Amino acid sequence: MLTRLAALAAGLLLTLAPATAQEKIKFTLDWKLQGIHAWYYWAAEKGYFKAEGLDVSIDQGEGSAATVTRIMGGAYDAGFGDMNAIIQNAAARPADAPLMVYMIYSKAPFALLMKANSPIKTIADIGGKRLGSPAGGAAIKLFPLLAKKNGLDPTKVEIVNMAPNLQEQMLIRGDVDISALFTATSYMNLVAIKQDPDKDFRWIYYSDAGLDLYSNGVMVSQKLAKEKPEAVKGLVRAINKAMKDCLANPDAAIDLLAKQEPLLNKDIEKRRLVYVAKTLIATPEAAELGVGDMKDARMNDAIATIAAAYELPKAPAADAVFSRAFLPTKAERMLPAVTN
Amino acid sequence: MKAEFGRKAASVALIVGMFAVWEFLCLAFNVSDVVLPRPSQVFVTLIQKWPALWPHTLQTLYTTLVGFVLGVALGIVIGVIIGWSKLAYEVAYPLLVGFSSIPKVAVVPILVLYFGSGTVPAVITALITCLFPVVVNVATGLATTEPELEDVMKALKATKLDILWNVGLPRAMPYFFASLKVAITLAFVGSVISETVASNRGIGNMMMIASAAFDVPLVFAGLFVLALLGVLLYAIFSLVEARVTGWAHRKTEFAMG
Repeated sequence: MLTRLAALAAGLLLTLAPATAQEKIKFTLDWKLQGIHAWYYWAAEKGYFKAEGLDVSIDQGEGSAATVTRIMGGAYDAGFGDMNAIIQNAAARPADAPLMVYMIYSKAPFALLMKANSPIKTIADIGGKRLGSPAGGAAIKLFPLLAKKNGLDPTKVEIVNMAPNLQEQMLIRGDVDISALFTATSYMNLVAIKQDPDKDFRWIYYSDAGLDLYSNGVMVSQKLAKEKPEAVKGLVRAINKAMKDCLANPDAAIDLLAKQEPLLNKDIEKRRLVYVAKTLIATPEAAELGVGDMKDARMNDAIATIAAAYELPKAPAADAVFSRAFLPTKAERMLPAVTN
Repeated sequence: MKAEFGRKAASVALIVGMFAVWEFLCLAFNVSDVVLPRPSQVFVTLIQKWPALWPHTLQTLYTTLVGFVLGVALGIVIGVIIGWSKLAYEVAYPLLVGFSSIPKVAVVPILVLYFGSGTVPAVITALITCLFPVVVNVATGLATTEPELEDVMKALKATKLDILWNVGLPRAMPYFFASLKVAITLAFVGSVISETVASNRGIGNMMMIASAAFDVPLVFAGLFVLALLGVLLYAIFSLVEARVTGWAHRKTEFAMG
């Protein structure tokens, strides 16, 4: 009798309040908490996820490629991670690789860094010079392709390996002439060692030199995309809305993030957020297509590039790694101007 | 008594002296706080940010202690089995050594694939880091029981279990309690390693966030908290050891060391 009553009550509750039946989603970030993660916490705090019928728990990450393996392992349903890592995994294990549903960094953060007074102005000038990078880093892995596209024989460049946190110092000391690195990390490293990253240095983005890759975005497991497409749409809609709020008001975004982790350095994290927003998110392509979408032709080139750089057995199809089916309308995806 | 006081005073003087030299060298060579903060800066950071550090400290303490308790329990079981049975010892030892040689930092991402990031991987990492010394010590303690005592027990028609209970285990106690001091500090290392890789809270996680923002004094504050907790727990288990197995030591004043 009691169980029947309980069942009845449960049934009543379900019909009366469908919003209480929330879809649970485990979401992983690409790294420890930083300014660029503000919008996920914003969406959670402001109830955007809840409004979509989602109960999203956010965990910090251990690298943007690890987001892909975390989702493939099944412990996470969705996350913020690297497109190129999806391409690599989709070639080997097409059934398990996650699906990118919302492209955020439409420009890859790989760049060559040199001092502003360096004689090196183009990639062709690098011949015979010393190039520093951590062994196995993505930027150095892609360098031979970059060199070939710019008519430089990559074997003519002397590669010097070092730990990632020494790249800027060794460049400043003159131990190397150029450094191949991640812009989002190095820019803030230079700020921290009291350099002016804009005035004292010259940056050559891979994407401006013919090696045009996509980078991080929101990805979901194939299972979630297939079984709960409405939940994925809701997730993307909530993140999109929160990101627009955060870019329009970075101070409020960092304040909210600081409530999550009071030990964050607000000045540095705000500067990081604004730098990444201006260089990697609010790109000309995002202005043209709206943030979240991508160009098929560019994507196919990127896949071919990754397949060549990593010697993949076969290149996955573009629709196996990215889907625009879950995106909100283009009007909703137009970014506000990024304020300081 | 007087000698003991002298040793303690010397120990405190060494710690204070180390900080003083550190402070002096940083000032003398004008070392930037991004490279090496002065201890006074670290203490100020520690006190100012204590309300925000406290939840991280609790989390680390929690995962460490849970992992330690589970690790010790499992360590006793495995230690008794391989210490008591020569066959089990020979069969299982290579596997155990293999397990203990694995760098624990490499295990964490695998644990995350199964359990997600957070408390569970930290507890398991603490467990597996502190397991081995307990197993080895308990097994050694059992294996080194004097054969004469066993012979006496056998002559009195004691069963194998009787011998284990009345001779083996009491004899293994000094080894076991000595291993606890090592195990608790290792459990700490395990927890913090796991937190630096995959966690939303804990001293390890806090240090990663602080180093990404180049807040080096805060990173050092985290190290200080870890060192303090480590000393505290080590002292607690030294006291427990002195209390429980004081009979096995020639002089009680060695118990702290």
